[in-house]
Amino acid sequence: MSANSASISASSAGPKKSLKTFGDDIWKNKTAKINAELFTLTYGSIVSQLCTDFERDFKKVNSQLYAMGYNIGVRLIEDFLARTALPRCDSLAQTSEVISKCAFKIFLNVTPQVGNWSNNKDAFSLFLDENPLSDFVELPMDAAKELWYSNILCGVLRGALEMVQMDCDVWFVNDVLRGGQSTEMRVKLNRIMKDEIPAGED
Amino acid sequence: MAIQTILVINKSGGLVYQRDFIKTGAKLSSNEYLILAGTLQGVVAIASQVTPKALQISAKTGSKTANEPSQLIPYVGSLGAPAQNLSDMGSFMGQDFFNESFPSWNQSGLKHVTTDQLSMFLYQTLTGLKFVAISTQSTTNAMAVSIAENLLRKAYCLYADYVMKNPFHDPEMPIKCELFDTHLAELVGQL
Amino acid sequence: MPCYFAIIGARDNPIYEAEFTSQQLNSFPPELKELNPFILHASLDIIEDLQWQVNPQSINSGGGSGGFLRSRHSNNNGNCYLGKIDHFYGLAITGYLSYGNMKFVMIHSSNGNGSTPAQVEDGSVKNFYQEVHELFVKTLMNPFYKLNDPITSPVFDSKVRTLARRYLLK
Repeated sequence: MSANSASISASSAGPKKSLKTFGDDIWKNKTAKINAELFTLTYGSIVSQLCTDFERDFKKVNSQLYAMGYNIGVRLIEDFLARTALPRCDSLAQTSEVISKCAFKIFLNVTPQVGNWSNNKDAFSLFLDENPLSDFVELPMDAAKELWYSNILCGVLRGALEMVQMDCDVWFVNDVLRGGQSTEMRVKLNRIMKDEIPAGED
Repeated sequence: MAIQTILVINKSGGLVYQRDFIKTGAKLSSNEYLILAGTLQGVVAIASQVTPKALQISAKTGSKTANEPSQLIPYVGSLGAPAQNLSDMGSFMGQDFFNESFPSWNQSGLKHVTTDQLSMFLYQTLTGLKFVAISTQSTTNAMAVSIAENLLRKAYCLYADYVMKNPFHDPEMPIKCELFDTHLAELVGQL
Repeated sequence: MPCYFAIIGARDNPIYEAEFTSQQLNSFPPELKELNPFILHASLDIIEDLQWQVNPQSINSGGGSGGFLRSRHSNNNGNCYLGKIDHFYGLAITGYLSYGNMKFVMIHSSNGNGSTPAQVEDGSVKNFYQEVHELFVKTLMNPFYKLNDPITSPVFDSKVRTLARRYLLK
């Protein structure tokens, strides 16, 4: 057991390049790309249509965006793992680095900052300096108090982490669209689902 | 190396995909494949508990690999066959799906079984999905194992593209995606 | 000189209006101020005439069906700026047509008593219109903005006023 764990951490440091160059390399060379404005406009029309469909009940819009994100996340994790083949993360700190430097980079070409760790290191925040989902968006007055425009991202993170046996809560703390200083998502690890870890790993 | 069958098993042990590539090979009924999938799921779990002791398994005669220290699985370009690039790799760009050696997620579970009539290779992902390839050649050399692992990882890439991104596919349900079938046949045909 | 600017939508409904004045200049005299929207709407007919007018230049050069909407002043290169399209007792009215049939119109009045006809500096006015057009396109990109809705965003308003200060009020 101890030999295995030592060699596992060796293999995670094995690829000599850092996570950042790894993520950059995959973004540049190995992923197909689309027009960013098309993406922004598509997401904007989704949110706007949801607001109309739910008759401006923004709590329902938030939870629907979260559910959509969850469905995306459980599928996207397979794409991420097939592309990167990264080994299992040893700690939440490493998880946060992988999320920030590889996952966000590969799929959205942004690198959020990780910070604001809780005291017992079970929660962290992601600070997005630029959010491609919300370019050109201005929230109307009634939405600006309740709607988390990029809530789909929270769902994606939760779905993806759940498929790798990490039960997490993800929610928005702050959003520049709502007048805050920065766009901040908080990720809190509730527990690692040890009984669902596939047999054959340590 | 001629691949006879490819199976995909979901994380609860249910068979979600099964495809034969050699028409004349021995055919099992679909029920038998389901049982095989469930057995493999159990055996992988048992194997991780019993290594490094070597034990005979009653279901399939063969030898399990001993518990090797985790190493990177070397990248085998073009799966050892003369170089032909897949015409369409979905959303993966560049020469090939991936071009570096990669760590295995399956450190102590069952990885391959060799009998005198066939070999079976198993690739497990971090999410509990298992890809199984059954080959008609009985081989134990390390090169064949690497080729098989590379092949199964490429099948995983195809799965991530054509099955996961199909909005009408329910996770954990049997796979009924034509695109996945065609591209998998093309991948296996490369060997 | 004080200016009264409005954006008129495809259904002839005003979407945005603003009056640009500064301390040195007089604003519109109060009794005339109410006439401004009427004056602008009266000029819409002229804009539509220009819009669907077949441009003789394009028939010669391009062949095929002639081009619509090109200003009398400039050649056929996608120019939206229409120049001075109308006048009303010494007030000049300029227009600009966006690609989505949104009409940007403005009344230019002169200093003093309005007996001297107002002068329009084409260059700076055209730049003003082009920049407002860009701001308008950004507003359209907002998923919560429906076409032909009134523009109520204070950000848009302040940016237009800044542009007016830069280009119009000299």
